[in-house]
Amino acid sequence: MFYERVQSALRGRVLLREETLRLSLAALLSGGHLLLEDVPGTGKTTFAKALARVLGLSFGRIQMTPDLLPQDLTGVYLYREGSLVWERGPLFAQVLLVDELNRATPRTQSALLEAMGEGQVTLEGKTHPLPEPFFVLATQNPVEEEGTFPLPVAQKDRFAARLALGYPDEKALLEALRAQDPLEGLAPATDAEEVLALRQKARRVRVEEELTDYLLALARFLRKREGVRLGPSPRALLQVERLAQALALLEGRDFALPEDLKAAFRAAIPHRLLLALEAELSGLTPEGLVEEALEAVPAPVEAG
Amino acid sequence: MWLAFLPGFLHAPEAGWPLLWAKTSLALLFFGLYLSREKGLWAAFWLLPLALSLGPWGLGLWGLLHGFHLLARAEGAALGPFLPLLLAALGFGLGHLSLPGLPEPPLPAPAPLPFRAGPGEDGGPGGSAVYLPPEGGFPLWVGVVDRLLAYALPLALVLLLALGLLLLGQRRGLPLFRGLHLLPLLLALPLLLGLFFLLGSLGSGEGAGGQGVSPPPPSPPSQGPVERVPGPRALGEVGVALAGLSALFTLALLLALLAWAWRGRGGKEGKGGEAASASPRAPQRSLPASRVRRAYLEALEALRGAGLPRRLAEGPVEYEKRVGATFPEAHPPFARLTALYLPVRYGGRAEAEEAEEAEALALRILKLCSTKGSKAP
Repeated sequence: MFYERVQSALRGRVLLREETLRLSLAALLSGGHLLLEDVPGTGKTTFAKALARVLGLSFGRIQMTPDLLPQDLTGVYLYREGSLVWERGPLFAQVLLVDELNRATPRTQSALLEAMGEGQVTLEGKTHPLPEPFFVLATQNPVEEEGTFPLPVAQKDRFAARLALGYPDEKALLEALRAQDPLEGLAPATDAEEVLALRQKARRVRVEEELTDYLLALARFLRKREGVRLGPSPRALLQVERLAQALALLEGRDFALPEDLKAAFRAAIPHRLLLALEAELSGLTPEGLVEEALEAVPAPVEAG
Repeated sequence: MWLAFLPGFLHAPEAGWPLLWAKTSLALLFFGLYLSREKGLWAAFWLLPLALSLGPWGLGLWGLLHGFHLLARAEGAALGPFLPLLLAALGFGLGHLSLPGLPEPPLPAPAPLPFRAGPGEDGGPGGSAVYLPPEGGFPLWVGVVDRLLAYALPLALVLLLALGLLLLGQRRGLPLFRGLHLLPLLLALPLLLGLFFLLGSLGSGEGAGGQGVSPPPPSPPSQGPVERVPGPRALGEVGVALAGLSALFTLALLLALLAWAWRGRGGKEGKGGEAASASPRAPQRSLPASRVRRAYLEALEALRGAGLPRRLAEGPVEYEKRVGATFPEAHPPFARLTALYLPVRYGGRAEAEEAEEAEALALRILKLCSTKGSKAP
């Protein structure tokens, strides 16, 4: 199975919780992108590199800085031997690590929008398709606020899920300390063709109508909840459903469960919620509100 | 529900088949209510009206049934096996007591339709009129349909009975089984519609009577002079035609239900081959699916009884893990039952063998839960 192959290839090399890997792969198979939010040193870059290698996909990395320009991502036209030649930017990779996304200016951040949403970039009136699959892993440092540009809601909405890698347990940490280079000798466990086929298969995973109703009820709860300024968007709900489908597929099922939907909801919704100032001051968090919704809305199971 | 038998009592007290239909509907209603509350201690009380209508013997039988019911539901009931006999004797005895009852209000006799004078006609004060069949009688088909209508009811009852037997044979056909007591209403509505048309168009509850040979009904003496006028022929034909159509619709509906239930039975018997290649949403799979769901529901109820209720927001896998952590003895069968339930509930498929297994697992969980309950201080 796809998930087991990837998991066993990464075992002992990357400090990662099983749930994080599962959701990362689900984000990839759902056709979405991933926002990794954690303090420095938790292995975000290593994870992205390792994932690209294990998946057999090309890897690109961009370190965002305030002086970075959009063409530094997309590429530029250079004058060479009497003609204009297009030099592709680092955006043209199948797995793209965008490090410290919130350090780039909004102008540069927005250059990513078309790439993430449409899978293409437009330069000088010409549209260039990005390689498939195109998967962005963006990292964000939640601690250092100075010199950063908070991501606008529209930008956050492009990410299917937001995850925190968190600190590994001591045993895993010990293994990582013993290993010299975690990426050394890491062989691909799959390829782009299989990933694309799995993406198609994930779309066909059955989501019972009652599960969709359940998802709508969760969204309704959050939208009506006092203290929530902006609830889940229709795009967010669509991505929750696709994430749930991908999670089901990773477990070898062709139908989604309420638990898939819950896990997808936890990963896809908090970073999209906008709270009122009073709610934030009173200690409410998007994660807490999502948990409240999941505890309050009855799951579609036999009423017993 | 009582709409089904109301016309029988109010509009056609002398009519044979509408009244029979009405009584059958009422009996089925009470029987259905009894079945839906079968697990309760006092479920047998739903059958009490039926028992009362059967007199002392009915009450005696009811007492016996209630006694057995109490014995089955409440372990260690007082008096043990003598309880049914005692209750039967009590019922029989009570049936023979001449209790002072409430005075019976007389049912209003069906009044003849008031005669509405047409233009140029003189409708005398206090006078009334009954319609006569038209001269020369109704066409032949009116008589034939009218006769056939009398056979429609027994035929419908036979079909209903066959349907009930098929569904009862499935044991776990929960949604169908629960709705059984609503079936008479569903079936009575088209019949009622036709009946009203028939009565309204022919006047004073008289049927077409086949070739118009039936005598006009006697009118109450206090109503003054009664004028007999020729019946509105066209309306009478329309009434019979509508009654025939509604009866046809009812019978067709029953036949369709019967065919559907039969196909479900066939789906259970057939294994592999065509059944395996059929669509997961095919109707023949719906019955095993409802059996698996019913088994899961029973397990949930048993676990709730054992102090492990599923929380409303809890998904089936989360609940299964919690059961595993708090009630390890029940975990293996419940984990397997959950594994059978998930593809049925969320994947839209079920096989007959899985339904069998699910029912066996539910029974095992029920036993484990009752053992746990009896061990509890």
